[in-house]
Amino acid sequence: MGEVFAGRYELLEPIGAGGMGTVWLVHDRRDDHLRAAKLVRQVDASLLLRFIRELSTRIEHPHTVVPRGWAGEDDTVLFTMDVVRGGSVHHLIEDFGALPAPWAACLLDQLLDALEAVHRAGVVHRDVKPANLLLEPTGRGRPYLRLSDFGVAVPLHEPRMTAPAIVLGTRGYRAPESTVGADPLPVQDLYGAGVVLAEMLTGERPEDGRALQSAPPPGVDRRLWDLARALAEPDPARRPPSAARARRMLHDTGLVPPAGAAPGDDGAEIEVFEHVRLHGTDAAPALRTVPLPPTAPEPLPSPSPSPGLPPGLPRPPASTRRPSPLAAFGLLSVGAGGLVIVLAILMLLG
Amino acid sequence: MTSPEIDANTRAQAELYGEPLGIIVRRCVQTFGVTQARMASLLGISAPMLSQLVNGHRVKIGNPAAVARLQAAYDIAGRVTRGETTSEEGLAELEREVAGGVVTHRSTEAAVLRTVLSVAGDPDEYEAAALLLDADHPLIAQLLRQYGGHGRG
Repeated sequence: MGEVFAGRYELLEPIGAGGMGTVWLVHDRRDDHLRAAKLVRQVDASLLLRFIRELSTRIEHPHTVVPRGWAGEDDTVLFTMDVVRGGSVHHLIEDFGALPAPWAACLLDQLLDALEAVHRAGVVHRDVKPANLLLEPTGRGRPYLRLSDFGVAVPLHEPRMTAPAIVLGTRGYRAPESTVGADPLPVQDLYGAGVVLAEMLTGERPEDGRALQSAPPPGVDRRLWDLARALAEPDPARRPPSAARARRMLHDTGLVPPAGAAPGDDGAEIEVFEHVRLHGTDAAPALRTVPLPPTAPEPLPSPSPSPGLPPGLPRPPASTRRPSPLAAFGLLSVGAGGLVIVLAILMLLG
Repeated sequence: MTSPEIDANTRAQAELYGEPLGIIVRRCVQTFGVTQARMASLLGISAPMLSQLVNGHRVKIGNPAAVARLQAAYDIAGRVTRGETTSEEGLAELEREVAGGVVTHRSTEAAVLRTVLSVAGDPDEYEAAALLLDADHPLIAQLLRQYGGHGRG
């Protein structure tokens, strides 16, 4: 028998590592269900605790995985979530390389559906990346994506909780403006979605912070590539303004498979494996997982503008955002380290 | 999956990779003294995918980068078997190879320059600075325009 946390959750096996902590498969002794649980140090838990209190119910959606409950013991907090057993889009790209266009379109459609709900609830996810796009183990059938890890999500419309100098999110997927201290806005999640789309189409993460090349790489569908470029546009003002708008652009490509249908893969035999097995653990087979949310037909919203997101929010003072010149030198020593650049920066700073 | 299908798959693997993947992977796992799950993470594929390949439920490795890493692992395992290096050194070499060759985390010098410049100012500021430098230091001005534009240029 595994360790029991807070007298209630038996830790069965680690099933992944998310931001800030390890994710375990746990047996909830109170209701005999299997759940995923993330163990987080108490000092890192405040945002998630707050998230549960205020936001989880508001972004409950077939394509999200939100923390539902928590328990504390000593200096550790355990957050429970649904178990999603098919790995993530990160695993899918690792296993198959570039995904066929209908697969990429189908997965992006579900991601944008989730982001629409998240943004409608006034929340910015801030860490949209392949490893946070979990998959149900659907085999060769239509994939089922669930946006996870709201560990650094924040509500809009309120003073910042973290110091502006702290840049959250994951390098390579966060919007360029957020690395220089811009306030969280939904279009930053759309940037992440664009990078994810480009990575699904090419099998490789695009170069950090640069606009995607205008010509699609060999073998990549032009319509989807153009959408990836629009979403991963470095200038936030030139991105599609909302997830709903991006989703309509996606559907205009005609590549999203009809509701319920598996996307074609042109012989690539794409398959979402079962990564977390429920049998084989000590706690088999009497246990139940929380049932999969209904596979809604995922209707496309009517083309009305997305509801009430503020066009602009107050910005923190610019002076707090920049790292010191020393930080620039530190980066330089790590990187290419050209003397000319050092001189150029010195001249700029002087 | 029936056993004739599995036989056909392992034969197809032998044609593609020289030997069935079950044999290749088992040799690597034994040589380096790692679990199959650890081997999967070294190759950069998921554990269930490696299991499908090893059991002949699937013929091809879809990700070309993983094929290259398996090739590297097999070559190093061969050197260990021939006594040219030890199992520990071989594993360390493979880990370095995997870390260095990961195509999804490449960082070119140009990207580093852009990152460095992007923390100190925005493209408009670099344009303004370049204007100041144009007359006396045209090459530096050009550099600022090229790399300070954060990928716009």
